[in-house]
Amino acid sequence: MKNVFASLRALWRGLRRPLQLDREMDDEMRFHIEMEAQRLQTQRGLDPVEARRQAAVAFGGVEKYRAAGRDALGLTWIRGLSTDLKLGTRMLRKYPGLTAVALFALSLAIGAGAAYLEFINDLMHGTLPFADADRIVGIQTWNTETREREQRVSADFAAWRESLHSMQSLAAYRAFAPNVISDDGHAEPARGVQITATAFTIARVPALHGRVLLADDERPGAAPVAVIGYELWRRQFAMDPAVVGRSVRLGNERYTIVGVMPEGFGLPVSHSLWVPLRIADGMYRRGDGPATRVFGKLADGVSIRQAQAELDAIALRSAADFPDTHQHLHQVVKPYVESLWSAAEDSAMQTTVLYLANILFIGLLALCGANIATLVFARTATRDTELSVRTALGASRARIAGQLFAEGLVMSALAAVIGLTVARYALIWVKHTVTAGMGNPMMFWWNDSLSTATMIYAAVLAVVAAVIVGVVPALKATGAQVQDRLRSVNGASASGLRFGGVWTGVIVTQVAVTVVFISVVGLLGWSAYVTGGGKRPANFPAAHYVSVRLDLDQPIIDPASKDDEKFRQHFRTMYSELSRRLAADPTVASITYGRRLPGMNFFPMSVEVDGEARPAKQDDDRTILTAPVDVRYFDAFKAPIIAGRNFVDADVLPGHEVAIVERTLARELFNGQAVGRRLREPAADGKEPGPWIEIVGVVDDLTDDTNKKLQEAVLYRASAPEAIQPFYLALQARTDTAALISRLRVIGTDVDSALLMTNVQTMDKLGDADRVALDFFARLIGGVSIVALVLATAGVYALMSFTVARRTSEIGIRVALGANPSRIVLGTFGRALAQVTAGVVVGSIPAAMLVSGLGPEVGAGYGKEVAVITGVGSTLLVAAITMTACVFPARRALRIQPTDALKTT
Amino acid sequence: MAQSAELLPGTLDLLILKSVSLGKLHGYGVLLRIEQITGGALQIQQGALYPALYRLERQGLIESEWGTSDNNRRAKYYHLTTHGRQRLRDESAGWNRLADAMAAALRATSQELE
Repeated sequence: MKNVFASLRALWRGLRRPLQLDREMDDEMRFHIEMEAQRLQTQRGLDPVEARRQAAVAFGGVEKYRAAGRDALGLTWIRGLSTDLKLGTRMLRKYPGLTAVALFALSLAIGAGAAYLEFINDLMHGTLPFADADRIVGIQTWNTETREREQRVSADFAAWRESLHSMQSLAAYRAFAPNVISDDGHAEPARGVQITATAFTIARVPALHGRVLLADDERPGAAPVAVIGYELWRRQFAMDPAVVGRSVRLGNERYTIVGVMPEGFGLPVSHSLWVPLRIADGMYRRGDGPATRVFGKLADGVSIRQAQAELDAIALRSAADFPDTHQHLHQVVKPYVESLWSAAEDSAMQTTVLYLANILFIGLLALCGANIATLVFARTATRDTELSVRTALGASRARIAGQLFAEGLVMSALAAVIGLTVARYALIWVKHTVTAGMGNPMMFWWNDSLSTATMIYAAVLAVVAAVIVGVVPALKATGAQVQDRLRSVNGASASGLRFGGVWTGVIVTQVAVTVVFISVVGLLGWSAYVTGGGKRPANFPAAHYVSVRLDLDQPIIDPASKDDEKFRQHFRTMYSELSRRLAADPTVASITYGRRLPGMNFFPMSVEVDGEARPAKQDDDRTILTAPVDVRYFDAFKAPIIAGRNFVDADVLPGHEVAIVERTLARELFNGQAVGRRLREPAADGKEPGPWIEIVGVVDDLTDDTNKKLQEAVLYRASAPEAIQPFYLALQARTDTAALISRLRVIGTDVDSALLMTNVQTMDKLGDADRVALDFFARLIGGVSIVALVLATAGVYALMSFTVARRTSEIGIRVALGANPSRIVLGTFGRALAQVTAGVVVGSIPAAMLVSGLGPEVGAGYGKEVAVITGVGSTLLVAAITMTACVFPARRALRIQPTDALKTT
Repeated sequence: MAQSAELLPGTLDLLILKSVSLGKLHGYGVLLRIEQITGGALQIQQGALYPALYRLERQGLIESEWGTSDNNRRAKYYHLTTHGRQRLRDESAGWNRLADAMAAALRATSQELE
C-alpha cells in the first residue's frame, strides 16, 4: 500500500511540476559532476577545465540518464502527452475554421450540460451556508390515505419539541406577509415568517445589528419584536444602524425592531422579516391550526435514518392515541433543501427524472462531437501521409489515436472553459432575472459560483468529447490498410481514406436534426412575430394606467377562510372606502377592477351556444376567454359599447346571468349579432353544464384585434369586488403614474393597514414577467438551432473539400479533356446533394409532425398556414445554406489546372 | 587499490540501500560511500546511480529532501524508509545465503564429493 502511495505521490508531483522535476534532475546531476571535478582537482591536481571534462566523462550522458530517470519515476508518458498537447495547440491555430466551429459547438454542449447540472444541484441539493448544514433536516407530514401533505402540525410540533431525542433543535415557521409601514406612511409588503427562536439557534448566524429572536420573545405577554433582513433594512430603512429599538407597524400591530440580519441570510427560503412564533402545549388541537412547516438539526452522531426511525415510532403511538386525526399520518425526514421542494413522500423518482434529463445534454454533446469528428476526419485525411509514415516508423495505432485524442482534448478543454464561463453568466441571469421575473427572490443559499461537482462534470464531458472528436476519427483513419496507403504516399488519390458510411450517416442525421430545429424555431419565431410575442397592444394608453393586486394580510395564512362571510364583508368595506378615497384623489382619473386586466392571461372557458347543435367533438373553436370584472370596467378603459348596453349595478346581483362580449367574439361566434344570444359552459366529465348566460352588449376589443381569433376573445361578467380572487385594481393616472403609485400606497395603508398591495406596475408592462421564462427557452432553442445549422453546413463543406482533395487529379484530367464544368460539378457533388436531400427528407417528417402539432398551440389559431410556410421555408433554408457550403470547394475544383493535377499524381 | 570488478545486475540497488542506511547522503555522497565500503573494488557508471535512486524512491524504499551540503551547496539528500530498511535486511540475508552457497560451491574439491 505504501508503494502505491509513494508512486501516486511521485506521479502527482510529476503531473504538477514536470518541468520542475526536470530542473531538479538537472541540478542534482550538475552538483554531482561539480563535486567530482572538485575531487579530481584536489586529489589529482588537474586544472579546472580538465577536471570538469573528466568528471563529465565519468558521469556518462546527462540526457541519457535524465531520460532513464524519467522512466524510473514513471513519467515518460507525461513527456509524450505534453508534446501531443503542444501539437494539438498548434493544430488549433493551423485550422482556424475548424477550431471556431468546434469551439462554438462543443462549448455550447458542455456549457449547457454543466449549467443544467449546476442548476439542478442548487435547486435540489443546495447547501445552506451554515455550520453543520448537512445536519439540518426538514420534517414533512404525509397522509398515506389521501397521499397529500398535512401541514396542520402545530400540536405535533409542540409534542415533538419535548420528546424527540434524535434532534438537537427543532424549529417551526408559518408564512407572514404583512405591510411594513414606515413612519411617513409608506407601506410595502414584506416576505416574512413567524418563526421559533430555535431557527436562529440552528442557523448560528449572528445578527448584523442588535440581536436575533430569543426563546423569551415567545413567552405569553412578551413585547412584540421583529428582526428584519438586510434587503428590507436597505430598502425601507436606508441602512440606518439606529433602526434597532425603533417601533414599526407590521399590518395592524406595532413591533419593536430588535435586530438586522446580515446580507444573504434569508431563512427559511428567501425571507426578510422574522417575528416570534408562539406554539405552546395545548394551544392547538391535533390536526388543527394554520399551515406550519417544521425543520431541525440532527443531534450529534445521529443519522437521518435514525431520526426517521424515532419519528416512525412516534407516528405509531400517535395513530393509536389519536385515531381520528393521526391514523394515516406519518413523518418523513429529508435533507432541508429537499424537504422544501419535494412534493412527494419519496422524492427519489423526481430526483432521478431531473438528473436523467442530463441525457439530453449528453446527446447534444454526442451529436456535436460526431459532427466535429467528421470535420476532424476530413482534416486527418490531409495528414494521411504523415500518419502513414509514422505508422511505418513504428508508431502504434494506440499512439496515433493518443495523439489525436490529445488534439481533441486541447479543443474540448478550451471549449469547456468557454462553456463554463458562459454557463456561469447564463446561470446568474437565470437565477436573478427569471426568478425575479416570476416574482420570487432568489433562494438565499444560491450563489453565483459554480460548484466543484459541476467543474468535474464539465471535465468529464470534455474528455468524452475528446474521445468522440479525436479517437473515433483516428481509429477510422488508422483502421484501413495502412500498408496500402504507405505504398501510395506519392499518389494518395488512388487508395486513400474514404468518407465512409459512418460519416455519411452523421451528415444525414445532422441535416435532418437541423431541419427539425429550424422548423420549430421558425414556427416559434413566426407566431411570436404575428402575436407580438404573445402580447397584444392595448387599445387604450396602457402606460397611463397602473395595476395592483390587492389582498388582506390576515387571512393569507389560511386561504380557505377567504370564503368566509366575514372576510367578504371586510373586503367590501375596505374596497368601498378605498375606491371612494382614490376617486377623489387628484392623481387618479378613473378606477376599476377585475380578476384579470387587459394584457394579462385570461381564463379559458369552453362554451356552447343556445339553439346550436353542440359539436360532436370538443375542439378549440369553442374555447373563449373570460373574467369577472367591475361594472365600470369599460368606462375606465374608454372602450365603447358598440351594440346593446353597458353593465349596470344590478348585474352583479345573484341570478343576473348577463355578459358583455368583445367584438371579435360577437363576430366569430355570432356573425356580429350577439346581443340577446345565450351561451353556457357545457357539461363535461360528469359536471353539470353552467347556467345560460345572456349577452347584453358588445364592446370594442380592449386589445389590438388584428388577426384575433375566437380563442383570444373575452367574455366579461359583472361581479362585486368581494367575489373576485385574485383581485386586480386598475387606476388611470391623471398626469403622472409615479405620483399615483405613491398616493395609492399612502391611501391604501390609511384605509386598511392589513391591505397588501403587490405587483404594482404600469399596465404596458403587464405579462412581461410571464414571458421571461418563455424568452429564455426560445433563446436556448435558437442557440441550439444555430449550432445545428453551422455544424450541418460545416459537415457538408468538409465532405466537399475532402472530395475535391481526393479527386484533384481526376478533375484536372477531365478539365484538360474539355469536360463540361457543370457535369464535373454534378459528378463531384452528387454525393453531397444526395446526403443533403436524404437529410431533408428524413428531417421533414418529424418536423412536419412537430410543426402541425405545435401550430395551433403556439400560433394561437394560425396553425395551418404557419405550419406549412415555416415547414417548407425552413426545409428550403437548410437545403440552400448547406448546399452553399459546396460553392467554395466547387470553385476550387473548377480552377484545378491539368498541370497541377498531374503534379499531385 | 583493489582490483575492480564488474557490478552484478541487481546489486546496485542493494549497495545504494546499504549506503543510505548508514546515514543520509546526497547522490554524489552515495557514490563515495559505495567506493568506501567496497574498498573501491566495484566499478560504477556514475550517471546510472540516479535512475536507480529515482526507482528506489518511487518504490518507497528511500525518501529525499533538499538540503545544504558541507560546502554550502543546495543538494538532494536521500534516507532509508522503514520499508527500505526491511528490504535491505531481506536482500542482505538473501545475498549472504547466495554468497555462502557460491563460496561453498566454488571451494568444493573432488575429494569432498567422494
